[in-house]
Amino acid sequence: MDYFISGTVPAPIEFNQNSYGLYLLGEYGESSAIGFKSGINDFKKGTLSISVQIEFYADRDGDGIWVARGRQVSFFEFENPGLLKRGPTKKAISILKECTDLAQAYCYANFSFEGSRNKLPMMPSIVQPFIETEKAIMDFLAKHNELKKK
Amino acid sequence: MIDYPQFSIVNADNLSFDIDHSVLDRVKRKEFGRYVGISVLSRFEGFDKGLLPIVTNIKLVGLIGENQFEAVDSFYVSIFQFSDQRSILLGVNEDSVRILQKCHQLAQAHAYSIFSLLCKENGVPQSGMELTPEENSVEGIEEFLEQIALPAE
Repeated sequence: MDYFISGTVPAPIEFNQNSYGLYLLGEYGESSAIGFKSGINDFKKGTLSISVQIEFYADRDGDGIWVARGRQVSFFEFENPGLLKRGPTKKAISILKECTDLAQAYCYANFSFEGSRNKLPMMPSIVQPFIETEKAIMDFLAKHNELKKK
Repeated sequence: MIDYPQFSIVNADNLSFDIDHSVLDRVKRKEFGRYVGISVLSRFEGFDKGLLPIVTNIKLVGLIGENQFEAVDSFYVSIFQFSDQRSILLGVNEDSVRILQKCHQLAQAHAYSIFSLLCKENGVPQSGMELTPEENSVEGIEEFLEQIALPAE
């Protein structure tokens, strides 16, 4: 394999003190949603770190109001770091998309599990479409492109 | 194609987490040296009404020679929902294999994440994880796709 998953670390769930209580009392509408934000942090000594934030929104008269937020940092170790240092090759893009998908899955699972302990409902999620992570991936590959520097 | 619009993820949860404290103590005393690691195995649990559940077993094991000692034995479930069921009901093809490989990989990721949290809460040392090489997962996937395939018209 191209990389080894060295670990994934969650931060404690943050609750919006104003909306969490009201949500549990059933003061908001039926519909709720989750959203992801992912970032590729850095790549040092062959270790790639990806952070993901997940937010749970309740519906207040048509507006989304955040109720809970989870954050997770995941680490991927590359035996051959050069794989990610040759610009936007097909291989590098597909590896980074896979790592981002995994980092999101770690974040989602932890948030669902911790959320259910705190009476949040299970929320459906999707694998984020490539277009939503494309910019982060392309910026990362441009920044770490060693072929260009020479 | 690296997108997966065919399914959504509707659940990821822990089913059980059992610790054998005598083995865990031996892990902590480093009796197994570097021969400590996790084994991750997933199984498809059928396909009904558009729902695909995958159960994953994660064990933390220490090895001495050929003997395996289990410090933790734990199970997890992930459920995937398909809006267009035909994407995996038409038997073995490039797309259906690719989609189930992704579900398999995500189920293992969900399990690993909850496993890591439960280890932390229970004073069990953290472990890294290798992805299952694709060629190893394909055989089980092809067999499963044949089982659930709609009869040919």
